[in-house]
Amino acid sequence: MKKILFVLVTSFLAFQSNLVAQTADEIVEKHFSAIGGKDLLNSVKTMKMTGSIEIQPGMTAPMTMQIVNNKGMRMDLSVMGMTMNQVVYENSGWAIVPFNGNTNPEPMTEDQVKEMKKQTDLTGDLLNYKSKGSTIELIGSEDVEGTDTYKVKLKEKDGSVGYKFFDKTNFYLIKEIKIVKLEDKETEVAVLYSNFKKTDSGLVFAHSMSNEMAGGPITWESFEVNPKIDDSIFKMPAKN
Amino acid sequence: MKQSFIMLLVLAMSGLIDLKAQSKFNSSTIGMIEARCIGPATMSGRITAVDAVSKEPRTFYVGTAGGGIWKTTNAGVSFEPVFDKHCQSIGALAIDQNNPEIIWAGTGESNMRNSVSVGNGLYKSTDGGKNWIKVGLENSEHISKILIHPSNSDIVYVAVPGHLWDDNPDRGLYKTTDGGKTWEKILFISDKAGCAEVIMDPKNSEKIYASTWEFRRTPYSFNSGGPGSGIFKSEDGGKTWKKINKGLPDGNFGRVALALAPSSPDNLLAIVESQKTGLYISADGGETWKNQSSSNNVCARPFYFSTLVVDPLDAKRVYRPAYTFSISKDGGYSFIEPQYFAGVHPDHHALWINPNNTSHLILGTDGGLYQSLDKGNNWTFFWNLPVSQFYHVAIDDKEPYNVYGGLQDNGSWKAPSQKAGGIKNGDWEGLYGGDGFWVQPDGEDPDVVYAESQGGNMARINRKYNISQSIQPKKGPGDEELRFNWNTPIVRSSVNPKILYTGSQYLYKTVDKGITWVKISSDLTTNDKAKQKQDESGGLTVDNSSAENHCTIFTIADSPLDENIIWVGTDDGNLQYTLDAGKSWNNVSANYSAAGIPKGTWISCIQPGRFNKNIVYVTFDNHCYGDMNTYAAKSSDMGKTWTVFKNSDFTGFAHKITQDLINPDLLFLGTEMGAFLTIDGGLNWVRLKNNLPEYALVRDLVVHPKTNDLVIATHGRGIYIVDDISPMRLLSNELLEKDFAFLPSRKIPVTNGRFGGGGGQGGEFVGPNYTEQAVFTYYLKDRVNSGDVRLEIYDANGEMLYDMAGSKRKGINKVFWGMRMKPPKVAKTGASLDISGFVSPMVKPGVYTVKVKVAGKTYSDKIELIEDPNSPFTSEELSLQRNTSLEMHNLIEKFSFATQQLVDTEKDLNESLNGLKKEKDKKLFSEYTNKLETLRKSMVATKTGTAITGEKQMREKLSELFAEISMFQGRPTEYQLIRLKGFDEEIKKKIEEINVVHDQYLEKVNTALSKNGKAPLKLLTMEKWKNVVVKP
Repeated sequence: MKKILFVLVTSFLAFQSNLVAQTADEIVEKHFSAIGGKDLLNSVKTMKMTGSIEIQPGMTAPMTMQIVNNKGMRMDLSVMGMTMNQVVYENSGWAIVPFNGNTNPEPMTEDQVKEMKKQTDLTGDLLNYKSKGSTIELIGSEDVEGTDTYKVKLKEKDGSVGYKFFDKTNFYLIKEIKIVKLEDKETEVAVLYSNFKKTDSGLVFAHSMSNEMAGGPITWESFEVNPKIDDSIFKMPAKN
Repeated sequence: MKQSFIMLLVLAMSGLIDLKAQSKFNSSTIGMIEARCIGPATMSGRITAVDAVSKEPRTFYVGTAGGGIWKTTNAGVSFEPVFDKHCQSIGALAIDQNNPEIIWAGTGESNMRNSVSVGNGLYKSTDGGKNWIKVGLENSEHISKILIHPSNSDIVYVAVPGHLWDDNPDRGLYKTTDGGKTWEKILFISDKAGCAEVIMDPKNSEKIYASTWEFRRTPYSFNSGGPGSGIFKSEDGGKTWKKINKGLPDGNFGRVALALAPSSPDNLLAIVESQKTGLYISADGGETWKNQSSSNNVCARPFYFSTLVVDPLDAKRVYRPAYTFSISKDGGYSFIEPQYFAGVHPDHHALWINPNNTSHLILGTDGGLYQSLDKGNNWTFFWNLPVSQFYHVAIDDKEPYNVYGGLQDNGSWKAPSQKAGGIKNGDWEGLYGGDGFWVQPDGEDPDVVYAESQGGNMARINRKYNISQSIQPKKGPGDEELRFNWNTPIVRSSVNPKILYTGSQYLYKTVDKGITWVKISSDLTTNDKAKQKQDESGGLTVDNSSAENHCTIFTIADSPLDENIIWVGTDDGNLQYTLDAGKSWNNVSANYSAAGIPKGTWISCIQPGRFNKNIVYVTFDNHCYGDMNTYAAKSSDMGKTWTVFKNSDFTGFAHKITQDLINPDLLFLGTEMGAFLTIDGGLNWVRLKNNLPEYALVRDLVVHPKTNDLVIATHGRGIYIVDDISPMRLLSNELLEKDFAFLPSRKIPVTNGRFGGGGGQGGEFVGPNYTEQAVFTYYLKDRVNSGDVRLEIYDANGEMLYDMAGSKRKGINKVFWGMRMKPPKVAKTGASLDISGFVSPMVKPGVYTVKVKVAGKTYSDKIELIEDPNSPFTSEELSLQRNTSLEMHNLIEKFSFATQQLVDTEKDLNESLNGLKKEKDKKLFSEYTNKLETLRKSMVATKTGTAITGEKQMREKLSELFAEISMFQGRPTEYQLIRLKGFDEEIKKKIEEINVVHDQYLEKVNTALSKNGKAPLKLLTMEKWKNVVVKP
């Protein structure tokens, strides 16, 4: 009887603890601890990710991403031996999309560069968010694929808004909604994260991500933290 | 210590009493089984509120009677529902024009007709409708107006008429001065009278006018009017009030529509429901009034049409949207109707006028939303708001099946459940007029349907000849005057398709399509004469539309196991059954009230057990007595004793319960605020979400016997279809404990698509189709957070045909497979992608094995694909196509291999070239390379550039033929077959040519390499090529 009482009481207390108000800051702090800690996150200066994307069900294409913190990013994606590149470096960007016979690099628009440049921030948009001029706000709870999450709103300095969903049990980020404005039309892009693994660097990364707009899921095989990346890979090649 | 433990235990019990705590089953278990809305938007539904961003009016919000809130940011080209997690009945909307990201929404429509829904409070969004929080007034039930202070966003006034069906103090005028954190009731009359309207002097925000309203409904009467109705004025922001009625009629008022001229705010207008209903105006801020127009549309149904708007810039231009749309140019003295019904649905409730361009109007009606750019003279309709209000839904057995149903104020309709290109507005076929309710397709003749309008005016309609005959039963000798419910049941027997039932106070049966109705009961109601005075109903304005007809039969159901067992429920609480097809009747209404369900409750639905004659499920709707509880119950002994279903998640009064056709423990419940299901016979219930608005007004639920679809009729969001619920039938508490489990889906015919994806013109609603792909369905106890999920599909010989990523959510997952094998492996060369790499042959019908790999474990199951029963092709044609496509697949791999071998050899030669010393060797290598390159250029298009080169070599021509043959399921054309034969020969020849070159050079090259101390060059083999694992 006493045991049953004890179980009931602990389950009651657990139930209660869910009710204890969490602030957005507390949630985000717990998230940082869960994925390796702020010190480690702040120490990331370069990163190389290698994996593949399922461009249609059953068909994968190898891809790599190389990022130098707040400086440049290069994405390479190969289909049938043809490689597409997207590169942003400092304040400009270029892309080669060779699939229809054009193997020349073409410059990106200012909007595209701005959007892609944001991704070169290896500390992410949450770490040190205050110094980046952003605000966060806890919106409430939401079910994400059957997982109970905290929904946190992030408003960045430039006014752009996004939502982050943290698993209540482990504080991993399992979903993200970005509101992307192209020309004058807002589009919501939702990305789901899974396959969380701790890497040699001590950081936990989601090795799988999926997003309705980009076709099938992306699977990362490796995350190299602070590899040597030569800036020359970001230079736009000469046209043929 | 012990005591505090017990205290905690008690607390814990009260927190955990909900039985669902014992079950793994919750809403997210349903996972990827989703509902899809098929409309219609061609007849939209009642619009109750419109507000636009003044500075940028292409962004506006639309509130509806039962379909939530819709937002457009593109002037109505498209709308998004933004309130799908909350109550769907909207009474008022207001945008804070100082910060248009702030939106206030009052739930509970205030057009107090018999079928009006109820709300659950006031909501606020601070991010343009993306997220909402409830900010109070939870128990108001109806909210009619929200008024935001023009310069202080924290000050908001909310007019609350309050409860319609009972006395209640949660009504009056409310004010917040802290953005909704706290509320003060600043004008309160009585438990019977609330506040219907509030307006503010735009030049003096302390000057507020409000109208109060006393009103009440019962199931059998309506009253508008009483001492609580009046017009009030405050000059101190609502602290003190005075009644203003000098010059207004004597006696009680009913509902008062109130407006002022923003350009000259001392000019007030009021339509005062009274002994002398009419428009009254004041030029001195309401101190004195004088009578103006009393034309029909001004005085039309004041309780229902309470809108009156003055042009923001022109104090003399007055709009009266009501039964029709009236315009005055002389401040309300006279009105004209420029567009009398022409192209605009009658019954108007909401009008927004662009303050910066007063030619621009947006109008909300009982049939949708309209826009005018010429001050209300001409209107265009928005074809993309699927907020139609169904009462019931029926289905037929066609393929694809059709749905039938009747709409509030919008007639009766039929539409297909699937259609090539999606279900568009034009796919909805009108059947009958008036308010629509029950529609039944005839059991035998596909051209015949039965439909009705309010008060039991029913007809048999022949769609082929476009004719209809009224078949309403008439009073017979010795009968009392017949009493038909507003929403009179027309029910087809669930056993015998020839039988149709209907009811007044008597039950009728026909077996000859309504030519002869046989009365098979005496009066089954309580026949309480005090509840039959509908001709006196309405209050100050008589309103006898049959909506208050009472003591009538409301629901009829025969046992699916025995056509002699018929159950009947009445609107006045009688629940009766017969065991002998109507010879004798048993009233069991005393028994359900013994189980705690209020006596005299409206019987909204009866579902006789599908597997046991003695079982019956019943829903009870007591909201007309002010009781909004969800009542659903089961009896296993023909109504003697009852078990009432309980669940803390239940919301809304109950309309419908239905039992699955296969699994007796799977039940679905529809209420005014949501759909619920149980997998254990009613012990635990969860809310059905998955694309269905969480608080949808669910009026009817039907499971299709062939497709296993759950068809949902909503009163505000049209028809939803949950395709193939068969995986739900397998859910049990035992299964939910497993980490992984396969769930069967319905058998899928092998087809490359009959219905297509869908898509209409900009601005038109299109309902999506369900997938025609094969579906693998499985259950996961938890979301897979570590590791991936992969699916592999094998044929009967154990050969893997396909592999792909699987989904990893908690609950039911679905993975779709196009029933094709993998595309042929293609070579990495050429100036563009090889189309063949995206094309593949369809598989044959048969049994396939699927392996699902989850977190290191492999689960295996079989799936059966069947031949498409609707295929227009013979089995010879189908098999010729499949064999040809497969033959091409293999031929392309053979060709691709040859190409890859060329490319690789060229690459190897180039790499070795540098290490060579002798010119002779170098020349040999170059010759070899050049010959190979010449061959490559004849096989693959190699020209690059941004222009359309149009170059087609063998590869491009092969791809074209492969795609043509593979994308059509029938016999390939003769020319396609001839061309294929030609390719076969040409490829053979080409490979011979390549081999001749290799024979000529390879040995010589290898001799040279060996002389240079290098490894010999090895040609790529087919085996090696096919096994290459692509590594990034």
